[in-house]
Amino acid sequence: MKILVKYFASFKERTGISQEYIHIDNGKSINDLLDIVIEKYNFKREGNIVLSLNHNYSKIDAELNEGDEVAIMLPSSGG
Amino acid sequence: MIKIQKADFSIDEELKKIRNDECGASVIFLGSVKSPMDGKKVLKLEIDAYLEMAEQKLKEIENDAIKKYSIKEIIIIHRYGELFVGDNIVLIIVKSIDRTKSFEGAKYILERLKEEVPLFKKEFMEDNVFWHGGA
Repeated sequence: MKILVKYFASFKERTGISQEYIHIDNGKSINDLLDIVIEKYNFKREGNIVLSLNHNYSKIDAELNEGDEVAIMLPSSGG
Repeated sequence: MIKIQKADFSIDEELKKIRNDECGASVIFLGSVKSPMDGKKVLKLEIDAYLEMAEQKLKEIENDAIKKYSIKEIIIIHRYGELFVGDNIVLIIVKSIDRTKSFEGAKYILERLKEEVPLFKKEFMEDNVFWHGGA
């Protein structure tokens, strides 16, 4: 499956990009995708990581589907 | 109406857009960049935005607020990009027939905005730089 991954705030800085496509096997979850990203960019799975799936906040165990958009970001600090 | 934009805004100009003579009161919340923070001088802010999702979330909040507080007119604007001390960040204008509902509606919008809308502040202090909520 091809998943569009978007990075915001400190994750954009750590990866050096704002988005990319990542290929992952069918039936995998956001957690599996996060493992790929963490290994690729060598950052630790600690602190605040907020996830969204197709523009809605998502749990880490949500299953992915072809063409999904996942964002990796911090908690909102607007206002 | 909701907007997420880099440009500044004018409260007077926004008020003119939502004139409604049925409403005798307009509740306005204006948020701006402050300094100091925790006793330290702030130099500037950068706000990163997940624009598509932020617009979707703000629209949901606007629709919920309109129903919950019988709001007649509403404007929510949030800026992103580079902002300096004293610059405007967020504007909420609520007009309802009942002034209590206008106040409560503006507070409801602000609280939900802070919790749910994917906007991220990077704070440039005189001796430190950090993302709010970052590790």
